[in-house]
Amino acid sequence: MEQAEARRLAGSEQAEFGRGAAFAAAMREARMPMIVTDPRRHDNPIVFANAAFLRLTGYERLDVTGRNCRFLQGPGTCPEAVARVRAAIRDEVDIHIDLLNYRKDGTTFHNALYLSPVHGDDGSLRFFFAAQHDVTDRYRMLEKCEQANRTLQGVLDLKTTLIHEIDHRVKNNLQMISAMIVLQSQSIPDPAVRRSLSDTLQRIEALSTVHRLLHQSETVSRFDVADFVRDLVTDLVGATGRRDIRVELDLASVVVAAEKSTALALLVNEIVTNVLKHAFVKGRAGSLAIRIGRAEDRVLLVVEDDGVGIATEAAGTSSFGQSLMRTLARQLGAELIVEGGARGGTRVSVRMPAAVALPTQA
Amino acid sequence: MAKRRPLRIFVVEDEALLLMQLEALLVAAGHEVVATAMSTAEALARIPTLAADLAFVDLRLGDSGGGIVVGRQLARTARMPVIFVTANERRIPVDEEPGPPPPDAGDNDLGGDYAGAMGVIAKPYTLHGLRTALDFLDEALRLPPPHRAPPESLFLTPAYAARWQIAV
Repeated sequence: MEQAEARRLAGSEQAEFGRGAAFAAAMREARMPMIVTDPRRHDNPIVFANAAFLRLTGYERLDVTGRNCRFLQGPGTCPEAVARVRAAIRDEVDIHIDLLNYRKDGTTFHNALYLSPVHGDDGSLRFFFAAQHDVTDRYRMLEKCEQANRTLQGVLDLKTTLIHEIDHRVKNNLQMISAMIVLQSQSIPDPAVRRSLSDTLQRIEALSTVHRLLHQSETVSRFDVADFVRDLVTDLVGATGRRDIRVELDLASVVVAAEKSTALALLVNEIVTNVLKHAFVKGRAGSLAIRIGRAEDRVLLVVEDDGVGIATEAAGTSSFGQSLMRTLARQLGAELIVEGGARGGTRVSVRMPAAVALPTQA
Repeated sequence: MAKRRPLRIFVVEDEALLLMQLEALLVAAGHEVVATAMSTAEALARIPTLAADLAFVDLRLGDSGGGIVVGRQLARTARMPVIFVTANERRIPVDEEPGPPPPDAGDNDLGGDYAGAMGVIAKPYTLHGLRTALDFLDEALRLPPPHRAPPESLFLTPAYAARWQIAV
């Protein structure tokens, strides 16, 4: 009895579409799975299913005809998606939605469903037309991508942890080297040896400042010389404990690559340390001016004081200090000019090729 | 002027050299290191009997828990101002629900963030950087609020900056 009904409904395509009509034949033969349902019948049953639909779902024609499409659903089907389909049917609007569906043998496939109401000449609802498209491959690919992303994220997290770890160790080690020198020098009675250790400490602290500033930037690869000079000079002048040395800073932002930063930092440290040691001796007050700017194709760093003058200052510089400065300048491809300044003191200019600086970024 | 009472300081640091250096510098600056601890466990065990005005706490300690736990315990329970000393300052967690301090809070209670700490000193610090930070803390703890901005070397947590009305 049921089968007879199914057969009758299956045949109804003849009445509604006309067996000979070209478009009906096209639908029957189409490679895309398609069905037609009849909302005027109880529970909106399938009244037509093409061969591609049967191939996709694994059902026989008699299995599907006369039944509501919900037999394609299963435990994994998203209830919200089903509710949206139901709403579209109720509101007689079309919908495109992906559903997890089940074949007759219980296997699943991702179904891209395109459902549209079909209205008659009089505007009344006649059928629903639904096309299905198996998009399981797409989902599989998506899942593969997500899995690959998870793996990559894991690797990235590991790398980030590693960088933090190394950064932490470098900073801790620099601090430990400083600690060793500080502690060691406390037990040394000879003031000349203590001064020498203090110079070494200052150089290490300059490196420490570079490292701290580098790692404050997000990229760890760019270094603003202006920031460094400001930090270093505040620290060095502060450490002298003298309030009679005025500091004038005129610092344009010059960003250099990380690999240039230590040489530049050590050079500035030597220059400024020399000024503080030798220019304002015997209670002589004074000012220290530092300028960073760009001139033509050069980056220019000028340290000028109004202290005792070039002859006395240069004489006080240790031979190691002098050779360190010259070699650091060479490393930077810079020209180092020490001359008498306009204010009676000394002017030290470091003229670096513009290529030292990275292009300014937004 | 009467001689000032030294600040009593608790130092938590698991690196021998850094502990020695910090101790030496604090003593040289005229303060008293009343206790030291080299692990989370040691620090936590010491807290109940601790009488100190200030604590320097290394953020990363070898054993489980770490400086954050110690710092939080000191700030919240012992109501002690905490300065974190750390080589990875970006990792200090901000507590989830910063709120106003409880009504019985002393001047040292923070309520919310930075595990209740007063400030952070980033490693590697310079000798001068540490000294200026100490000078500031000395003034801030004796006669709050301090009348100047903290030095570059000391990051003041937002709660303390707000309390002292210091722009940071």
